[in-house]
Amino acid sequence: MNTKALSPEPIIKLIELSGRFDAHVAPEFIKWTDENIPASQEYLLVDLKKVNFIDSTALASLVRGMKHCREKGGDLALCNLQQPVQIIFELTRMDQAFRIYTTQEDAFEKARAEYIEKLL
Amino acid sequence: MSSSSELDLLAEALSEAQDQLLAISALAQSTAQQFDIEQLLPILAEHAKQILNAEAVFIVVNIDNQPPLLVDFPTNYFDPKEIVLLTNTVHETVDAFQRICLVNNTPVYIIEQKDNDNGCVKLGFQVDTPETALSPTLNLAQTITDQVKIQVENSLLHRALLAQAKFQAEMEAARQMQASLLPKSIPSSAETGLDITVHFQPASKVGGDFYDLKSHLHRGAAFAVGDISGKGMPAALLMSMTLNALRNSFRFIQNPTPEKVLTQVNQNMYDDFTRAGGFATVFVGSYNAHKGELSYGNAGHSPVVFCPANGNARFLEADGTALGVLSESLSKSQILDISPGDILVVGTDGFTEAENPAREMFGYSKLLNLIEELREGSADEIKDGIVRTINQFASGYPQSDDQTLLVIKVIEGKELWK
Repeated sequence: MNTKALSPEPIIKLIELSGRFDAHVAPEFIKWTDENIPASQEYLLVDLKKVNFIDSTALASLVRGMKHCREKGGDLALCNLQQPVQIIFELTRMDQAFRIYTTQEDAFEKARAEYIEKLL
Repeated sequence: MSSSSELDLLAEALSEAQDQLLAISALAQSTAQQFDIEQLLPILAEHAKQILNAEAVFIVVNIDNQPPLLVDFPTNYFDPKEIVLLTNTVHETVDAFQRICLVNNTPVYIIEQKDNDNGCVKLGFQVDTPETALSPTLNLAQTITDQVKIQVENSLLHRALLAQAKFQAEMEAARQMQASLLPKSIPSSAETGLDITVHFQPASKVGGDFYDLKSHLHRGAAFAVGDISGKGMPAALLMSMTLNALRNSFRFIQNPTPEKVLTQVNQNMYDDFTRAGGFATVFVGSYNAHKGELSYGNAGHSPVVFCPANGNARFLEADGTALGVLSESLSKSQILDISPGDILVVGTDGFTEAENPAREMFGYSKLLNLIEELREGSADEIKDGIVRTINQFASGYPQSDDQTLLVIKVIEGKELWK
């Protein structure tokens, strides 16, 4: 797991997953989110660049993480969705529920801009 | 004289050896039908005492990380604490050994039989002095210990089989209960104006897929197909709750529309889904035969294919995400004019994500062509054609997710009711 503090903050904790994101990987991912539930204004960023498949158990683990983060005033965002994963997100309309960014840098920039806006 | 006394001794030794063989045979026989380890160990200890001609015997069995099982014969001859302490120390330091120790000031010979899988068995028997433990007795004691180990393993195997049988029986009961929640029969085409059929195949005994069907009072039908995230028992529990919430919404909402029903179910189930860490994709449809109208709502569900009698098949995509994801459902009611010959296929992702041995997925793109090819058939023929094609694609690769398929073909359109 990588942690990046931007200047000015917020702190974003980053996880990069790879391969099949399914029922075998989901428990480990849930453990990671539970251990890293962000404080207010902090974010978890899940990079799916190397993920070529996602099943419903894995989607549920993302939804679970997203809800826990939002309860604490933070969020769980996604970036780098590859085509097979993008299709699943469109079919299930999970794209309505998550903040989805093209790249990590894009996600960082948006988070920083939002953070500054809230400070003002 | 001397040769006669030698003969006597030899005869005595032979007779003793025969007695021991018989005793070992009796040990094996008496325990053959006894699989309960708690009842088995005292019998073994008693036989061991007889065979070894010892004043007292104890047996300690360590299985995995459970507390050790301990018996002695005669009962309470040894202090159990002292035995456990002694054998535990030994267990940690030595893999296989034979040695003499003092237990309650009695010299005891201990033989251990250990393997990496199922823990170990230790047999201790009283000896008068260390010297009396001669090698024939030790060989015998080793044989008995081996026998005890075999019996313990048999007993553990039996216990595991019983537990498995009980689990299977419970799963079977759960399967029957889940099956009983689903519609018992399919409404007839006379009631609905539709030719309807369903294929329902959970990947294991219970699953998270569900469907529901009900004919309208005045021609037509309401139906739903859903898929709970995850698999197995957790999904099955959420499935029964969601199906119940869905039925209640249909029953109690005035003029229920797909949108109202999905909104209501999401509202009622959102907290449950959050606690359980799951969600449900649901497709809800209602066919009004008088208007020739299908109104539907799709909360994150796929695949749903509409194939008009004279047109290209297309997906009816979700406009709102799955139930339980957001606190408010965003799915709206959509209206579709339909006519005789039109086909609606509502599946679950167990079909599109079916894999072949090369772990390629069936996918979505092939489904549209397939349904167009099958469009002339009845609902049953279309269903069978889809299931057959997916099974051929999988070529025996095991089904990993629940598969549900609802196929509806319109028989009577509004023209008949004007």
